[in-house]
Amino acid sequence: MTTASPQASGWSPLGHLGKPTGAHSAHSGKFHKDALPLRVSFDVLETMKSNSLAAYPGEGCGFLLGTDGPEGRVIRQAIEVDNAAGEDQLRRFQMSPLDFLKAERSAAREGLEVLGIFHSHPDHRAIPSTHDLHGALPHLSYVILAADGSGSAPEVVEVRSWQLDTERIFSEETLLSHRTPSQSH
Amino acid sequence: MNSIIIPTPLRKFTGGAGLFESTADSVKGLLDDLVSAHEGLRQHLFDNDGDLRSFIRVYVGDEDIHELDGTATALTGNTEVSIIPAIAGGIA
Repeated sequence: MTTASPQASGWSPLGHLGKPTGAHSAHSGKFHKDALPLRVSFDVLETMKSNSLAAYPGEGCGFLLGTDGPEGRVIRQAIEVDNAAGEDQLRRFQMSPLDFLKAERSAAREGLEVLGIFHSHPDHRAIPSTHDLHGALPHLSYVILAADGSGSAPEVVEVRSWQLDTERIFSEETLLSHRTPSQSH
Repeated sequence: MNSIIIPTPLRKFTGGAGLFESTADSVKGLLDDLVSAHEGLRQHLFDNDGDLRSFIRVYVGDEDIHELDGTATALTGNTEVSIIPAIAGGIA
């Protein structure tokens, strides 16, 4: 059996999108080389990036809905939600249980699954923190966007995806997206 | 019979089942029966002290058990309980 390479079908790996941020998270994580890649459409990537920039200097967050098949997960929809962390949202995010229920119901209506979440790390690397680990579920993809505010306007400089394994350790998964909108259609 | 609804990400531990049923007469009993039947769920629902993880919310009908008697909340039979994650994190 042959499988078209991700690049051949227009999928490109994400990671550093510009200059890396200087600050580092406490949790280093590891790369899960055998994991299937996570694919996010151009539109989903743009939604996550605009959410992260709009929330800056706070943390933005949302749910990722898609399909899970033999070639990995494909995220087709991003649902932005309010950060319920209140005054702590400069360094924390909190997704309300009600928003989780709504996302699950929306996914069921669309024939999709809640496969992941995204959130931003303002002025920090796109690496899971200790706090991310404490409030995480296994088998969800955790897309983290590093938003850097050192320039004249904040920009997203790094996008990476992680999954918590059954031993509650985060491993990185390959994150693929399209560079232009036309490739997503 | 009381039932508990499992959120999608945790159904990997229940063989895909979204519903678990038990005759337990309290939330604690129902959760204990659930993790005994599906041991892989235990560490994701409970911390090392055996307490429910803080981001795991349990609802009896439409009410958070924190507004009731916590895990001691009694179940009268044919009650629907839901496990709903309140996913959280942050840089510091």
